[in-house]
Amino acid sequence: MDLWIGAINLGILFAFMAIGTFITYKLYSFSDITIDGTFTTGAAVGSILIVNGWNPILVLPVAFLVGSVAGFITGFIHTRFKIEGLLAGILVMTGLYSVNLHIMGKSNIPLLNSPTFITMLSDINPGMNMELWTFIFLLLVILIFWILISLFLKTDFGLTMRSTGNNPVMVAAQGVSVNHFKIFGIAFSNGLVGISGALVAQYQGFADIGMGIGSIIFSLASVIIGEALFRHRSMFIMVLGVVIGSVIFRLAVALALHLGMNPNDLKIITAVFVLLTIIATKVTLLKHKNHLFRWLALACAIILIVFFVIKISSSSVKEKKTVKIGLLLANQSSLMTNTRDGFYDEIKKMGYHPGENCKIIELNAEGDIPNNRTMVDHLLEEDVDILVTVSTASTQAAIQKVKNKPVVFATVANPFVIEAGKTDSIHLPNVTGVYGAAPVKELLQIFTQLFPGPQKIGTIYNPAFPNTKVNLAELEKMLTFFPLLSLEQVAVAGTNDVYQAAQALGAKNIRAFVLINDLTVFNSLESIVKVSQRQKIPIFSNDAERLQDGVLLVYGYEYYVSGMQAAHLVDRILKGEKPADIPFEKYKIISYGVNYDVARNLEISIPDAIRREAGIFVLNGKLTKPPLTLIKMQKQ
Amino acid sequence: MDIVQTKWRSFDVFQVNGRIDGLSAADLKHNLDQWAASGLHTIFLDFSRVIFMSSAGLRVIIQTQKSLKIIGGELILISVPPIVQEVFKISGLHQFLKQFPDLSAIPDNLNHGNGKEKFISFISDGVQFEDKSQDCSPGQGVLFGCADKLFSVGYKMEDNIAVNPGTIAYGAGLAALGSGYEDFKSLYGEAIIIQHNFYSYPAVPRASVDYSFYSEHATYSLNFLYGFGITGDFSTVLHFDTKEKPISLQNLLHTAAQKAQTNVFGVVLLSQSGGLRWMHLKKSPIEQYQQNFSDWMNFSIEAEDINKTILACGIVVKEKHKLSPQWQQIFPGDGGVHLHAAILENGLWCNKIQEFEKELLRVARNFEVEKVVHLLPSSQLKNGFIGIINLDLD
Amino acid sequence: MIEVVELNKTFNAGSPDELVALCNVSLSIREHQFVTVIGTNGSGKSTLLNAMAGNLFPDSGIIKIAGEDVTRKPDYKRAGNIARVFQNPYSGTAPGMTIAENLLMAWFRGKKRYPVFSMSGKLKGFFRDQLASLDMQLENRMENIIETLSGGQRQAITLLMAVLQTPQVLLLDEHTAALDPKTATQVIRLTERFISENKITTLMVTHSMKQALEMGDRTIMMHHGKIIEDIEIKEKTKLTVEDLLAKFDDIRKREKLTPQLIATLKNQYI
Repeated sequence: MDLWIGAINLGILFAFMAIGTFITYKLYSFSDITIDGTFTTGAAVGSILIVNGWNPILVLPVAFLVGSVAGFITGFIHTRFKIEGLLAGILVMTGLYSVNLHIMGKSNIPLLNSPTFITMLSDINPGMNMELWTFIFLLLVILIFWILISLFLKTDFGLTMRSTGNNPVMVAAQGVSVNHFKIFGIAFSNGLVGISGALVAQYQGFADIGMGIGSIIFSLASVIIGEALFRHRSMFIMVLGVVIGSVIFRLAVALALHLGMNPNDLKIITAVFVLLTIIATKVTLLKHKNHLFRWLALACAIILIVFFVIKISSSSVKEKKTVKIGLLLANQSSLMTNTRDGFYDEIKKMGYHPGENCKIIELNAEGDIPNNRTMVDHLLEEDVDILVTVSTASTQAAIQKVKNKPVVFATVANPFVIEAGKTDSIHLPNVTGVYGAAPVKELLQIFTQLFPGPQKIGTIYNPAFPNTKVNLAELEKMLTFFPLLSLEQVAVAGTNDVYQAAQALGAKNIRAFVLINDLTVFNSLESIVKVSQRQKIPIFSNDAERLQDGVLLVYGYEYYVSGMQAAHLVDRILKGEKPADIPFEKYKIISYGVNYDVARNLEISIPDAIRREAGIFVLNGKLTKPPLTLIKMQKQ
Repeated sequence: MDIVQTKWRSFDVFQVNGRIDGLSAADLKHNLDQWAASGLHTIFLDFSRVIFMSSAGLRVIIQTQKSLKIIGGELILISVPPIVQEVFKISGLHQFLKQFPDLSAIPDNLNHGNGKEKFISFISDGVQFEDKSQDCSPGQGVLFGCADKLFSVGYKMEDNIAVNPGTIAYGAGLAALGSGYEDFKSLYGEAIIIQHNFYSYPAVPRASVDYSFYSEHATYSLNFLYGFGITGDFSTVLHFDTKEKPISLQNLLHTAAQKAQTNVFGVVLLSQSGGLRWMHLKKSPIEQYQQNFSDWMNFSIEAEDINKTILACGIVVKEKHKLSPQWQQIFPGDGGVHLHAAILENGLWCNKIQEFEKELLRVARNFEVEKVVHLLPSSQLKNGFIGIINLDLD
Repeated sequence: MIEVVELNKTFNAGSPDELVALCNVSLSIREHQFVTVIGTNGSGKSTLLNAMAGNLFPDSGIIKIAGEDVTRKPDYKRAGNIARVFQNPYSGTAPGMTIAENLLMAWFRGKKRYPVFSMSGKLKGFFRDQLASLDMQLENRMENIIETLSGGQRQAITLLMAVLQTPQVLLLDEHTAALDPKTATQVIRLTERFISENKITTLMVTHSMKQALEMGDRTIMMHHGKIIEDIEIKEKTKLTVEDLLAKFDDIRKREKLTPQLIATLKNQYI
């Protein structure tokens, strides 16, 4: 039940954004992609203020104001410099990414232990189901908002706004500054999106830099559904349509999840859905006078889509009544998939065979942060026995929501920043897991062994990732133990910047690249390797998995191991141990490897001490690696 | 009502079917007018299938008969049914209409009967010509005034030359009507004389054509700045008929030159236009010199005045250098033709070659003249007559 | 009322498509004067109107309306004094709005709009009376959206909107050009009525020589960015459509005259 009410609640919170989009898209025929950024901005401002002790309701006007400013900039660029609306939106959205990072200071702000409107509601809950109670409250709020916004659009001012979108030539002739009204409309719309962002952050318990991605498509879908259902000129009905459209959209997502849709297909389904709805509204089918007929047509369309989804989905497994494990990944990066593979392999070794004596429901949020929340709801709906969350974002969504089922996390750099616990053994009672910061100090130790004396090292990182920031702080801290080393660091915003960053470091005469764990760098290692080979600068890395690809020396964890360890924790809990009694574990296996091919190419001789220690090596293109087993793990 | 065209011997016969009443009479009239305009002046109407004719139809028949009679044609009715015959009888019209009981009753020599002359026919450039030539002595040409001043300082009072209209049968030039130089000095414009009748187009804005019909008792004189007059008999009259593509004035004059026996000859033209190119003054060239060409000259950009009746008169020279300098200056720098034309409303005229001179006078006196212009050889003509007067200038 | 001094406007200056739309145009229009403007295509008549309305700014020159220099004022800031009717019947009204809403927009022409509800029963009654005066049976269709109306009805409403708050200056830009002849006549009749009733200073661009001569008390002929004729009412009554045509014909011929053509023509004449 929570899945459905949760979806409706989410729909209502997103309705503020959809109404904003309704103003730009329907009234002004302006596709405002700024909201992808503004949504996050609203969430960021709201969260940071709450963390700093503000009242969760009082932050909403601030979120509105900040969102409006972003919208104002888009409108100003668009009208003043005659830049196409879409492009103006993209410009501001891109810029907002940095602004949002600055506001948040890091890429993720947890609100688990902060007051939110949910906690406020919870305080006055007369004893109802929390989601239901939230729903009643939100319904009241959206009703009032619906009436206010509809009335506003019917006033002289609102009429002028609507006319501006309808015929700018005419309103200009009536003495209205089209540009001013356009800017106002876009700013107002983005203000609403900001509110929506702040509310959603409070509802899901955190703000994240990536939470706004795809907002425009989702809210367009809501507006279009609403329009298809209520083809009427009355402002009240049109706005109501948007609200209901938003709820229907979230329900459709929940339905798709509930029916066992392959989450990998969520994005394309949404895109296809929006496309089909747009086409359908243009086709006479939906222009039919009879409302009932139109409803039926839309229902058929939704059913068809869902049917299609089930058809192509492969993850629905018929099972006997056995153990149910929910596995939630934040995205498709190899960090996630390696952890997952380790988990699968290890759990099988321990006698859990998916499809036979256990069922593993794997979901992937595909990088869409709010999706984690819906997916947790879905796993709860599926009544899984235990949740395994891979990544910080998934873990955050799970610990916020799940109170009475065990949660095991893996591949989280620092569970303490998301408030999963205070120390390894003092933590949330239903939560445990595997974590670990990379062994930066050890890596530096090995470096000084190879290159003694005063040296300059360089590193590249993407500050958007929370883990990276933790790792970078660690690196800076550890450098204090090596007074002869100096550090050159270059921040990048994405994989495309890495090559340039490596070149920039090369130009500064660094002795080596010392790479911390960073998803961006991990995904674009080839760019650094190119520079490494050309300028004969060796690479030292904490990432054990890419030794073969041109790194001289690795010292660090394989996330595969994280999955393996998580499998053991799951096993222990399923066998009766309480998560509260199981301390958080650090990664147990260190991978220490040398690539002799690279050493030869860079004319670096590896001392015997290192040769003996490094269990993994690449020689003549061949990787030699001792088997990773639990036995060995326990021996260490 | 509908009309079917058939051939009987060499005649075109139009068989009218059905009722001729208030509804269809206009249709019939429209058809009759078109045939007449295309040069068909004797029209055979087969009434055998007419089942009714109202007074509206009667009116059309009378009107057509009247206009055809003027140009020497007529309407001939065949197989008129009693019911229609009755209408003619009541109105007393039956005696004015030529009728035959059936086609075979039409005599062979109809319409070719009285004073029939045979003319030489030839085809040149795809145009059918008929040639009526006679031996006659060359006519006389006179020149008055001087054309030079148009481009220099302008004319003054003493340049005006009074011409007695009785002395010139045909002519052209720059002239005005009126007594008292001060009154007419601003009214000079292109002028033409057709059988002593004078037409001029004053070079003022919104001008209308001035004219004087000649009578033997006339005492007025014509005021010329410059011009020429031609008096004499037509040695050759050509009738030309272009079926589809009009003939250019240039080509027509070329054919005429072959017929003319003297180096210089006068031409008089009665024709239907197929697109004219012309020039005319916009301001009287008195004591002023217009710096700006467009301020004093109006000209056609593209071919204008299509399907108008034109009367033209001018002189043509075959070899200009053989002329005396005085005569040379009357010809434009670019050629051996100086031709003025009166552009008239469109109307019917008799296309019998022997009626040419009579028709000239009738058209000149009865048709409304819109303007008189200097006609350029690139003008196109559809059909009509050209009369040639050999000139002996010495 | 309107004072235009040496207005210049060149489009695409310096490029091969350079078009001189206005070339030193000066014009003075008295209060209550109704001026018609005719001109060839691209003569600058619409540019002149747009410059007055503030839709585009001239390269140089001054435009004064009611004594105030408005040369650099954008259109919406002039709208308090100036009302416009466009050639395109779809331009003058908001198609997705009702007749009443459109009239309300016009009711506030040049004024600030606040988030309040002004559409009172009294105002509605006033609108109804005004619509009834159009004699197009629109008074009972106030809640219909404009989209359901014909081009002629829309243009009539646009006209009504233009005079709802009597403007100091009314600019009409070939506002009957896109209508069928019968509707155009109807709209022209309304135009004359509104202008004479309210004595509005009017500038009407038209493509119809007949309208130009029959309406208003002054006619301006434009060609290639210049005013070539300025005909006051006295002279105007004597003119015919043919005279105007002849004037334009004359201009056309003037333009074709190259020195070579002049030489050729001279040689053909004498």
